[in-house]
This record gives sequence, structure tokens and C-alpha cells, in this order.
Amino acid sequence: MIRYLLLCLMVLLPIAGRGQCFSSAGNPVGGSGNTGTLDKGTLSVVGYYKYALSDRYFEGSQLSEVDIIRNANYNYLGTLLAYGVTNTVTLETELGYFINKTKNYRIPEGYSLKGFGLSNAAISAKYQIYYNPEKKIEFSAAAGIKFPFSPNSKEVDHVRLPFDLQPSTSALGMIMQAYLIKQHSLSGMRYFLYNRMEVNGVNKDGYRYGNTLTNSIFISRHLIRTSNWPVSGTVIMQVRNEIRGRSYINKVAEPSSGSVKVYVSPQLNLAFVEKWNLSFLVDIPVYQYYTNLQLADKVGFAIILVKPVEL
Amino acid sequence: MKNPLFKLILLIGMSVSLINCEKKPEEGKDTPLVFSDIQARRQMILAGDTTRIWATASGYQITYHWSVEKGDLLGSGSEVTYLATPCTVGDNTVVCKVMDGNGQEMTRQVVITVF
Repeated sequence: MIRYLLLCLMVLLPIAGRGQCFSSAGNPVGGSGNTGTLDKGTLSVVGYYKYALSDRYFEGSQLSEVDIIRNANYNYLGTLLAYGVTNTVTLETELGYFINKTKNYRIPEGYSLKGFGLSNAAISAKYQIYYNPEKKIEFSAAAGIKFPFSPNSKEVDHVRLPFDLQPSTSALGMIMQAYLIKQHSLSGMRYFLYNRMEVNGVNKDGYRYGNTLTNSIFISRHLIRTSNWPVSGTVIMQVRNEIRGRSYINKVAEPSSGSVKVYVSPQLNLAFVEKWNLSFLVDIPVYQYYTNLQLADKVGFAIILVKPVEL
Repeated sequence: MKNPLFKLILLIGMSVSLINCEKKPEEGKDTPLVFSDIQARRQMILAGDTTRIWATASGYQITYHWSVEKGDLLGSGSEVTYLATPCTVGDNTVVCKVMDGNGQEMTRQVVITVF
């Protein structure tokens, strides 16, 4: 059961680091996604790395010829600690750090701006609303708050970074999540449905990042099930829809904000002697719609490491 | 250290040092903060274009703090470049706050209109 939950955890975690893109504004919560509740006394320690690249503009759903920015990218490290307080209640903390969040300009040529620093942290509680061990169905829901480590926007050389390069929202926010999990033991297939809503508050500069709604469907299947083999593998296919609302500056909607995206994210998970889990995934946008003109996603990838600890 | 004579010599030495240690005022510390001007090379530009903005100020250990709601500011110090990114059509207020080493600050702003 624990292994199964950890797999779910790894599947959903990378939902964190991506999505805050550049023109589409808003910032990720540290570790983000988790799935299912942990058994009582179980601690799960997760670390992950995420890279994302944007190098083109979209106007609506069409590629634009605007090329002010040569490219933009970020490198992000995230952690998540989850602890099973009881068999039905799990507490989670999320934390992340942007190693960089960079825009390289074409106009003026050679310039770049780089943001970095701690992202928002989050604390949430998850409750297992329904669990049927015979049918292997679980439904859980979580709610929590996310908060910045500083209410002030990040400055570099006394110049405030653009809001899309800020490492955090610099404001309080709320997170709500829902998880529906169905497992078929004989076929080794698993199905997850995951929804996450993030509501952002207004920061000291009067900026409010757009709220986000993420809906993901995952299908996973075991590759290797030999008992004497120290490594077992699972392939996972995720289809994810992200809807980002408009951002506001002093209660006025930012024209180039808000988007609808669909990603396909193939993922490979390797479990080493049931003690360590290592996972790789690639984020490929297959549909993107942006309000007005915005810098669009190109590709992303993540590496995730999970270590369960029985306390 | 138990010798009273040694203590006396030490005390006299320290006193002489303190008397002779004339405290020099930090150079320029009394200079008042003056933020005389902020200008943009062009105040009306097209989206995707840039314009140079500079501030003129004087004072003790001054630093220039820049911010704008929409658009990107490149560079630092007394002069920056404003880049009108696609979301900046309309009036955009670039704010410069000058702070000095005495904790004083003055703020000025310039509006860049993007078409």
C-alpha cells in the first residue's frame, strides 16, 4: 500500500515546478501534488528537480512572430514532506527554491534578467474520505495554505524584478486538492484523477497572480514484476489540463494573463529494492491558448526522488 | 596585572589615546539628499520597443531603486532601460526611489506610454 501511495506521490509531484511560466504569470507552490493518504506513522521525504523552457510567443492559440525574448527558463528544486498522522489524515509541507528564473532578451540584444530564491511554502492536511480495499478505490481531499517567506517582491541590484520572474507570489494563498485513485492489481494498471485549485492573494505591490486550476488524468502500468529483481519499473502517462485565471495589478486585469494548456507527460518510475524511488518525466504541451500575447511553454522535464521512512 | 603601577600606566595610556583619537566626520555625510530629475529619452514607444530612463540625484551614499508594474526594467543604478513587453499597452509609471546613507529617501516617477 505504501509503495502504491509513493508512486502516486511521484506521479503528481512535478505538477509543482511547472506552470508558472513567464508571461502567464503566477508562481508554483513548492512541492505540490501528492496523492492518497499515508499510513499512520509513515513519513515520506521527496526531493525533485524541474527544468522548463519557453522560447516562443503565442497569441491566442496561434504561434506569434513576436520575438522580444530569445528564451526563458527556470531550474527549480522542490521538497515535500508528508506524514501520516492517522490512517486517514496526512499532513504535508511543501517548499521550493528557484535556482534561476531567467529571461534572455533579443531586444535589447544580450540582456538578461534573472530571478531566484525561495518559492511559496505550503502546509496542508489531507483526509481520506472514501476507501474500499476490495475495489481498491480511494478518494481523498486536501486543503491548506501557501505563504511566502517574504512579503516583499524580489529586487536585484535595487531593481524590482518583473512579476513573472519573482520566485514567489509574495502573498498568502489557498490550496485545495482532490484525488481519486483506482487500482487493478491483476493487470498492474492504476488510474488517478487529480484536481488542484490555487487561489492567490494580493501582495504588497498590489499584484495578484491568477488563480490556477489543474486537472490531471494518469494511467500507469508496471513494467517489471519479478520478485528477485532489485528494481521494478512503472510507466505512466499523464494528460494534464491547466487553467490560469487573469492576474491583476491594483485590481485591474493584466491584459496578457490567463491561459488554458494541455500537456502530455510520459513518465518512467524506478523503485530500488522498495527503498528508493526515482522518476523521470517530460512535459510536452500539446495545446496552449493564451489571452492576448504571451510567452508560451516549449518543454520541461523533472527528476524526482522519494524515500519512505517508517517511524 | 597585579602590579598597581602597571595598571596606572595602562589607564594613562588609554586616556591619552582616547583624547588624541579625534573622531573624523564621515566625508559627505551632511550632504543633503536631492533628487532633481527623472527623464525618459522617449515617453511614447511601441510595444516591443525600449527607452532609456535616467535619474539625477545627489547625496550621501545614494542608491537608486527602480520599479514598474508592467514591462521590464533592464540595468541598474542611475540609468535603466525600459522594455515594453507585449502586455504593456497604455500608460506605465516607472518609479525611482533614491535612498541615502542617512535613511532619507525621495521618489519620482515618469510615465511611459506604450502603443
